[in-house]
Amino acid sequence: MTTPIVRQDIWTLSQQDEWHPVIRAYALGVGVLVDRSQKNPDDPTGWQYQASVHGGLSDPDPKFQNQCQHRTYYFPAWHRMYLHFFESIMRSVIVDLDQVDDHTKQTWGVPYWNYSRGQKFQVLPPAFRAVQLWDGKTDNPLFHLRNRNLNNGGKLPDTDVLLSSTLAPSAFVGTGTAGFAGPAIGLDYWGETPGAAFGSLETTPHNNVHVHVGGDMNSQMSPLDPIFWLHHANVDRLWEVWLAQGGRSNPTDSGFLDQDFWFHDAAGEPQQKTVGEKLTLAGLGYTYENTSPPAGPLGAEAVASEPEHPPQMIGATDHTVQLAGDSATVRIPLGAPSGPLSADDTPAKVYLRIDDLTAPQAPGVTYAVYIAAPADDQSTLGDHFVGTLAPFGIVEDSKRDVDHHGMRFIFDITELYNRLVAAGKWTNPVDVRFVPVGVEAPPGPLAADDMVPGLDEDPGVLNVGQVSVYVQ
Amino acid sequence: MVRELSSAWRRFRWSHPEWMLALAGVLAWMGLFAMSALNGAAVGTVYWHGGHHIAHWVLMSAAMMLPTVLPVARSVGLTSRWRRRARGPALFAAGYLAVWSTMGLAAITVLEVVAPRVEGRWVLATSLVVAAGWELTRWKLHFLRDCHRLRAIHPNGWRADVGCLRQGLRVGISCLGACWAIMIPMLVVAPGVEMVLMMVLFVLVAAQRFASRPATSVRPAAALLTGLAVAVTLVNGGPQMAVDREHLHAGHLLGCRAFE
Repeated sequence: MTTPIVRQDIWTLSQQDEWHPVIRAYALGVGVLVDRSQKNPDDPTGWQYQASVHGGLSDPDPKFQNQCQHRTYYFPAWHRMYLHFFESIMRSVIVDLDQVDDHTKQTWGVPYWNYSRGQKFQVLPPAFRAVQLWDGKTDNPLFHLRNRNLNNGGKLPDTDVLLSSTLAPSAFVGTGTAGFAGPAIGLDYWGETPGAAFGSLETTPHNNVHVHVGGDMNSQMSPLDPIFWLHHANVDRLWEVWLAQGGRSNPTDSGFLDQDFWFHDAAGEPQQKTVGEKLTLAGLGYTYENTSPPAGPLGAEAVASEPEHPPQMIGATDHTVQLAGDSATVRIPLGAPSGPLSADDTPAKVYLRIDDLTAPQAPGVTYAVYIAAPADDQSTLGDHFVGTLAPFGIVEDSKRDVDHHGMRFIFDITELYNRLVAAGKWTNPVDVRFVPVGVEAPPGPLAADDMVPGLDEDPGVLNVGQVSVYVQ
Repeated sequence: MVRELSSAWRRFRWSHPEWMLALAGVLAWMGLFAMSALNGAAVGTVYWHGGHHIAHWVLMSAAMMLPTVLPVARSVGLTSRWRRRARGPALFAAGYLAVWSTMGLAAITVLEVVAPRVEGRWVLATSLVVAAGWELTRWKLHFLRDCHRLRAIHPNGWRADVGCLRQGLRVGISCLGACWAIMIPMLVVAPGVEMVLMMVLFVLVAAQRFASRPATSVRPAAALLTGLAVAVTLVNGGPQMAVDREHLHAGHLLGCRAFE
């Protein structure tokens, strides 16, 4: 039995050495793949082609390109397979590099960026911010045009990396919400399938980090940025963390396990594999340095089972709201539930839905969502926090001639609702507040000469079609 | 047992407020088969071509098109207030079928008034080729993709009714843009093969509507329609493929036309 590859925490490596051998090997490997694409854009093991497997081409090979799965329960599984095949390509490159030592060649795996470890780990690892390699002369393949603050040592906001709601769902596929992974709606590429919605893992931290890293990361061609693979290694790791909490399991239905996808292996040969064939870490031959659930009361809210009747809307906004980088508040008059749920019943579940989101350009900020927060008391705002709107992929949802079904977010606010009701802070009508969140500026003033290139954080315009409250 | 069934049925209705539209689609198919059988039993004396009758056209639209928008109707129902869960999908369907009915009325009028002498298998073959050609246009893909789009609907009162109706109209216009050319052959096909063609085209429309990636469906659809056109042209001695419009007159039987 071969020893599994251990995917290591990039910050653990960076703290040992900014240019740790694993990071050096990755930088050199990226350079090789970029060269391959420059010589032959159709080389399936080249950097550009590998990015197009995810999306972004106007005339893709329908079997291999524009294949990413989002807003469906295939989201974690497809990206696991994608990462696995990319890692095998990268390993095949690294073993041929003279500058890489034998130990690294034998053990190299894609590192992961665990931005949820603490504030200092929310900063982009230094090797990804350096314009030149360790020699100070050669262009660094890991450097990419991203959010200017992030490229200069600013950190991701705390709301990007909170895992409490991410790991809370007990079900891989939820009914009222999309559960941990997403809804069981079959294939979905960019929200074109009815019922497509983000699972908790995709909502946070996946979407948040994509939006705030910015540049290519905030688009379908996000794998062009070398940090993409470290971000998705962490998303993949969080799937294992979710399972490690106990009481959670992966789907066993044939629709999930037998779904097949096409990739290219390290030799550039087509490979057709099912989700079931590439589901477990043991089967894929890798593991993670750490899959322990974070400390704290995680998952308690997910224990309550959902009733047999579906959620029902009890109030919604009646006009579109435009968010343009400023805070905004909408007011929702709430009616009494009816049908299987009477006005006197305490709902087993309460949801906040945000539907029909569109934007002409990808916003560079996310929006923290708060409910029933008093307008005159900012000090208690955190007690009303629902989650974040990070509309990764929003541009595709806004085009009339691209497959989509409208972007939506569904937040399970049951615990928050019960807490606010008990405290007498739940109101009718209820206010929902959107507060823009950006990447935090780097500490201390930086001289212009010390600044590395980056992109302005443009909030753009985000249109919110409807905000509604559901009870179940 | 009865209680369990009752409970399961209740849960199904709760989760699928569009179930009545699914039933309407099934009934439409049953009605069309019944009319076809009735016609087949009386070949030579009573001969109908339902595509020329607006009532039959509406029935055909309900059978072929309503099933393709059930997921949208479900979404309309599930996002409505509880007491509106049946009315919302119904209003959506009314708006949706109004679009197809208007198209049918216009097409029938054009055929009856402007081009009454259109006849023969070449007419059917040509209409299938036109449909195949439409599949390959960028407009087809544009409309097909737009079919997926949902807009927020006002939550309460008459504005919610208008919102559901408008959603039906909007989706109907998108579907009309995507599928009008596929439906034209149904106006010129002869009764003997009408149901067969209807079923083939229904499967095609549904496959395109439910495909996760519509872009991948248009070329196979164009090939299928072209193949049908070739088959229609080559087949000899079988049932008449296209209606001879000169021999139609204005008499109706069960929404059908008598044939001399």
